[in-house]
Amino acid sequence: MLTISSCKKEADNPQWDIEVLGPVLQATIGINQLLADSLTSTDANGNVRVVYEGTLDNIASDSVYSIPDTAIQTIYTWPFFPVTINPNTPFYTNNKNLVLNVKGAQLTRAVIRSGIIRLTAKNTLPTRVYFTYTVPEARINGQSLSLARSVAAGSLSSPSYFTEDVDLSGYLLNLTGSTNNLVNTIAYNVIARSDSAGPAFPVVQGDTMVNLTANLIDVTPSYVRGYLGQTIINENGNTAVGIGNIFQSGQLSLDSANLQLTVENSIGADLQAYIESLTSVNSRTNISIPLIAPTVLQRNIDLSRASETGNAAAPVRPSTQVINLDNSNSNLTAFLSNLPDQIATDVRLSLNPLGNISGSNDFVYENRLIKTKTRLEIPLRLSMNALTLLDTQELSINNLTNLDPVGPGTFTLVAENGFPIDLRLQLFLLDENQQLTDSLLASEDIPSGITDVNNNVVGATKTRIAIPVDAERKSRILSAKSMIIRASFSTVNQPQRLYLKENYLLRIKLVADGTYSIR
Amino acid sequence: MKSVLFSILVSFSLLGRAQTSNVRNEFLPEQDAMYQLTFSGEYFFASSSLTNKLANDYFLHRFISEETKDVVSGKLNNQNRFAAGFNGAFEFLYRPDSSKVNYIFTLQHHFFTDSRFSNDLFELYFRGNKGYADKTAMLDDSRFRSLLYYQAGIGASGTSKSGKTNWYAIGSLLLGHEILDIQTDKTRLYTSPDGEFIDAELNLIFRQSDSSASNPGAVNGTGFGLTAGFATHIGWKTALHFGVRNLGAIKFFDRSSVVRSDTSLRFEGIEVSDLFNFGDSVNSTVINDSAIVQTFLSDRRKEAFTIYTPGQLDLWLERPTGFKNSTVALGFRQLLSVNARPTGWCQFGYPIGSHVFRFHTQYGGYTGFTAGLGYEFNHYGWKLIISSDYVSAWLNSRGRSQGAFVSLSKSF
Repeated sequence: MLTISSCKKEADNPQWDIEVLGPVLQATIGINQLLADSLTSTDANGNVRVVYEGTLDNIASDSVYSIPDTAIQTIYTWPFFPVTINPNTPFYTNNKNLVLNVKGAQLTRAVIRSGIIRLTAKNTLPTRVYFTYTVPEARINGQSLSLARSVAAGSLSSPSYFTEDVDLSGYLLNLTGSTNNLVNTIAYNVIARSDSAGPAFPVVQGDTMVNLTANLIDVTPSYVRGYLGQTIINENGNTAVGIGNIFQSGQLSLDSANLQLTVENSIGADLQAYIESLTSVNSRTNISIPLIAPTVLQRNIDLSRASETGNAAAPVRPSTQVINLDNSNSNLTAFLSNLPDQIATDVRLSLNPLGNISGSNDFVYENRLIKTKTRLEIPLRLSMNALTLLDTQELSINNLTNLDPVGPGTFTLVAENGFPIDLRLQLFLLDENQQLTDSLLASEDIPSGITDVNNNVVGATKTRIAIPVDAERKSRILSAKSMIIRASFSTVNQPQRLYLKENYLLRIKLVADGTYSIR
Repeated sequence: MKSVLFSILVSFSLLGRAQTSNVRNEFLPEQDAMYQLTFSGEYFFASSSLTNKLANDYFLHRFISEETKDVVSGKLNNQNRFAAGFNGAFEFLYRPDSSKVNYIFTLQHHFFTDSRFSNDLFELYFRGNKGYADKTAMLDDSRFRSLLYYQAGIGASGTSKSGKTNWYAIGSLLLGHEILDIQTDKTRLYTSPDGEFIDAELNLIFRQSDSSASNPGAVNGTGFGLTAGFATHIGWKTALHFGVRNLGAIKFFDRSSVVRSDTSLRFEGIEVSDLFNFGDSVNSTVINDSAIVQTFLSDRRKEAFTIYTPGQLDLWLERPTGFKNSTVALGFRQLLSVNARPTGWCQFGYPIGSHVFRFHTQYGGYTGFTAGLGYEFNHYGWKLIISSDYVSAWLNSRGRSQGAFVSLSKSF
């Protein structure tokens, strides 16, 4: 028994502690990492300029036109003296126009991308009734929309019903009505006939002979033609700007910037834009800087109509208008240096400002309206004064790896700063209630690299910051749910603006010096 | 005190198997017996520097304290060695009436760990690299092998017509279950003073059997083994014994892993630059250990390889002392295909009725000088042997070897 008990293993694996000293993590951060979402270019001197390109769809198609749901009801009551209707006898035929309640536009033609027509018939006659519902100018593959359906015999006390949905996708609608000179109008025809195999039946004045309803539901055109009207579209409001939200304080001074706006009008109608104001809003500092650009703002900018190519793959030849803003014609750098978290806009778009000068040949292709391509180019010659970036990252350290064996020790953050920027770094840990539990880096300075008289970095500066981690701090780190990163940037030799170069690097290394338990 | 008593109780010579002066060997059945069944088991640990305390703590998964390591550090040389193992055996001997040849059937289980290592390797492994700041840890020419295999043998033994010589020979099928074999040539590790980088020079080979087939009965390799020997009178009442045991080789199948490295590298931490890609959401996963290792242990293959089993060569002389029926033996032993030095030994045997007591000393192998005791008891065809060659090391709190052998036989 003594032998057996003395040979019993006390744990799953051998156990001892070792003292480790070595690098754990490393990162090399250059301009390319910092500006990963943007294009960068470099001149012959290695100076970096950042280019941001984006595209905005300025208006939605329903702000130009829309076809609302419409119900077309056909009710016919017997208007004459009593008669007997024999089998297989047409007793109702009629051609009618339906005027669609299209807002703003006078359409003559439309191609339907999606939508249905729902036919509902009610019959109180004592014989089956055959309906033929025709829209002669709704065509697909050259065929008109014609629906021949029947509804069973019924009575006043027990009418019969018929309902069917018909898909309108792909139909070309002529919206000029039965006279071909109307707008927003659908011509249709209804014929009713008694059943050839049914009984003859008497009718008297007032009897309902036809009760048919056609509902146009969710009709969305992929193309419309006609006169689009003189619609005015106002674009007012504030747009959040992503990068501005993570800056907490400080000043940024840019040397220059160039903004190129290329507006593409793919609508077959003239447009006129009037930019009343664009304002850079920094809601943290309560500073708003309106854009000053006399050549662009508070004047009409004409966008001529697009034309059709006849090529189904690229049916529209848009017209374009290019607007350039830079230091010579605007205060764009001040506008951007304000670090806006919002851009306040007051823009007015006028459709057909000169009226129907196309002879009702305006057109719109779905998803081809007005597009603005933005190209913002900023040479990274700047100064930063305590420009502070604040970001919160979610943490799930426990999921990364098993950190149980890591014992007390000191982690050392080694930073080799090759930027002409003094950094101040703070890391705070938060628990699940967003309460501060620890400060890993209270307020540590990482001095800039060594610069020459031209403010070019000629050597990196090395800084070592010790982060002691005992059992309590380890527990706080492992239980942290998020981490606040607060980084402050100040360029050297304020207020001079200096270039950020492609070869500038910040090397960060985390070195562990502590106990590790082998288990 | 209990442990001392316990040690004395189980500490008797392993070499009880080689004790007789009447030219006998362990594969000859007892006189007048037709059958003999034997169950035996042994374990051992021996080292030039590792203490029993550290070995016990390691194998029993106890916490290894700094004090335990300090004792070992005080004994380390530039080159050190250790071995540990466990063997279990079942033997069946059969002597037909009509034949002078005896038939031998054996089933055995072997677990053997053998290593040669530098003092720096020990310090690095058990204390970490912090003590090597601004120093190079020399890990050259190190070996580690852990082998577990099964053995099924069939053979014969007999005695010459003159009765002066006896012999035995057993051929065995070896079934390799598990092997881990690591060999380094020029392998060094430099830790920078501030820990900002580690330079490694790695020239090593790592071989391992198929780790996915690890259930107890799994066979990951096959081979052949040989055990043979003889004993003969050479005059002056002296018997000469010569034998080889468990000479063999196992070829592990081509599902085995072989990793070679011949490279130099500087490790400066796991690369996490992507975490600072401020253009994207920070959702990267920190690289795991295997990703680090794979960068320099890139030559990974699945291939077969052959290893030699730890064999043993024995040569000894034995004769009566003239004092009652006591005997004395003087021998030489060399373990083959492992990192042991030659061993010289001497044994004194003293029978009293059904009991035989033995005193054993030896020098060499994996450790230094050790003294052991053995006890044999024979009664009505039963034979019990218990022994240990390492009683002296057990009694020494800083001893570097331990082991015990137990055998129970029945002849009928």
